[in-house]
Amino acid sequence: MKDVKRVKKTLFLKAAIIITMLGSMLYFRGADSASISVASSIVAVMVMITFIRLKNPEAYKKDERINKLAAYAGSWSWLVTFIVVTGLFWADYLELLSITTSDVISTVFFVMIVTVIGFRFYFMRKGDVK
Amino acid sequence: MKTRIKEFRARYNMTQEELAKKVGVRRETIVFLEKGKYNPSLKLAHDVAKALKTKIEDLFMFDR
Repeated sequence: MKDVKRVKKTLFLKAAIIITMLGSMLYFRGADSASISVASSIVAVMVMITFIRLKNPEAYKKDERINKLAAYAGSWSWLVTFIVVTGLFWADYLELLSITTSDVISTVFFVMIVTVIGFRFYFMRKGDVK
Repeated sequence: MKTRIKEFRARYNMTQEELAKKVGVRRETIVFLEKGKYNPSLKLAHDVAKALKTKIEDLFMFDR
C-alpha cells in the first residue's frame, strides 16, 4: 500500500515533467519526426514503468541483485550505443548515409532505451552476471 | 556455488517469501540463491545466515 501511494505521488511529478518536456519540444522544434520519435519513446517508457509499478509494487522492489544487474545492463547498453554511434560515424564519413543531428540523437535515444531494457530483462532471467 | 538454504528454510518451516522479507530482498533473489545461480554479497550472505540461525560457511559452499 505504501509503495502504491508513493507511485501515485510521483506520478503527478512525472506527468508534469513529461508535459513540460513535450511542450517545449513542440514549441521550439515543431512536430518533426525526431521530436515525435523521442517524445513517444519517453511516454512509452514512463507508461510502462508506471503500469508495472502499480500492478505489482512488490515486483519493483530493488535489492542488491537488481541493482547489480541494472548496473550491468547500463554498461552493456552504453557499449552497444557506442558501437551504433561508431557505425553511424563511419556511414556518414564514407557517405553511405545522409544523416542529420536529429537522426543521430533520436537513434542514440532509441538504442539506449531499447538495449537497457533488453539487457536488464536478459540478466534478470539469467539470475546473475559473472 | 552450492547452498543449503532450502534445507535450513524447511527446518524452520519458512517460505521463500518470508525469508526474502526478513533479509530485505525480492523472492526471486532467494530462488536464484537456492539454485546457486547468484553469488550474494557478504552482507546478504550474513543476513540470510542470521535469518536461518546458522553460520555462512554452513549455508554456502563455494566451488573452486
